[in-house]
Amino acid sequence: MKLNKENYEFLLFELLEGNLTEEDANKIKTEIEADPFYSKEWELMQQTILSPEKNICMPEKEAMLVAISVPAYKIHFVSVLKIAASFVLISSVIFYFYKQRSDLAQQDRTELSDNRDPIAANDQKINNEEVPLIDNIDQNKRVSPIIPSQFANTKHKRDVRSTQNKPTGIKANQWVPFEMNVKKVDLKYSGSYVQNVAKTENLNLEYPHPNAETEGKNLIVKFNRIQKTTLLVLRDIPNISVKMTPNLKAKKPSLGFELKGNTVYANALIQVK
Amino acid sequence: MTPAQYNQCVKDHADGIFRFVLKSIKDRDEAKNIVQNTFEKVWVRIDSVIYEKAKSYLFTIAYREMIDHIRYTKKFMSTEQMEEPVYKQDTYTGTKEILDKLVNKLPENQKSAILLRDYEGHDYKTISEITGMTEAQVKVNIFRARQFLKECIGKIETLI
Repeated sequence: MKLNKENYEFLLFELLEGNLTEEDANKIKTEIEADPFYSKEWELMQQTILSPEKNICMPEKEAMLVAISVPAYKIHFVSVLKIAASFVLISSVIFYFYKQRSDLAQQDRTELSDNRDPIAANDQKINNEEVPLIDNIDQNKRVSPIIPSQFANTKHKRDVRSTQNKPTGIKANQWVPFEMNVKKVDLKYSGSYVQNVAKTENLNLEYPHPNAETEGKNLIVKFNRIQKTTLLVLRDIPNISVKMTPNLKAKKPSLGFELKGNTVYANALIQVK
Repeated sequence: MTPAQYNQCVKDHADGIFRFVLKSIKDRDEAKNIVQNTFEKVWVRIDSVIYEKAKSYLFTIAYREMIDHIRYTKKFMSTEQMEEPVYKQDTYTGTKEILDKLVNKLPENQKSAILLRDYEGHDYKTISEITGMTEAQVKVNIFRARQFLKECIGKIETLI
């Protein structure tokens, strides 16, 4: 590409517009520098570039802007959302800790209940029931006992003591052998007549077969029901003691009864199915 | 295009369109009206306007408004009234001022092409979209405009 009198105007224009390749542009520039005529033409060509007058601005431009109306709920939406989110978060945290605490308490109760249950729980239930005991029975139908005045208005008192001593080294889910002493001690109204209306001593519950956890629990519940029924039946018989001997470890679990009293003596072996 | 983008277009391009129109028609009030009409038309079609192409769209509308205005004016004004003397009333103050006055001597197509090219930096394709000319016509018009300006500047420098 070489400048001549016929194409120099076009090539200078192309150079000014940036339409040439870098290589062609360099060649043209070299030729321009070498020739005063082309240099003058190039100088004039460069002066044809118009520069905008930045000081000229559109008058009242602001009047053309449109007012962007944002609804009030959109303005406050983010704030409301933040507050709501905070409230939900705080509530969730509080609820979580409350639930955790409640669950822990429930778990503690369950563990305690599992360790003492079902007999202790059931016995507690029994104790809470309004069982018409001997002191609630119409006194006219009975041989009037000589009740010491200091005991006359004393309510029937029950003493249910449960002991559960977990041996160490017990694996999880393993039945813990425990001994539950259930004593039902009635007030001694007189020195000889009313004593131990119904007394269950040393209800030694041996832990059932390890693979029969649920079954074992059910057995204990059943035994406890039997005990409850027995106590209700025997409540009016004075001077009788009941000794129950459950055997949960046997292939066929059983509950042995031994009744001792002034007029009654019996023993029985109840097999529970 | 959203109203917020429309406002941004007003802020970004209103001055450039106003300069371009004012340079072409030399009437400040009319240039202002044309710019206002331009943005009014864009506002009416705001939903169909793409923000990224808003600049060339605005210049296209402004250019057509300007052409309509020029044609309307030419019907009621003689050529002498429209022409603005360049050398007779003003004294020489510099190449820039002379250039500004020389631009008014250019034919409408050449003036629009070189103004869009130099004022706004549009490429040939965009100028062709705005003015409705082909790219080749745009290039030729710019070439002729520069040749005219170069010759005029050369003559003035020779006189000085």
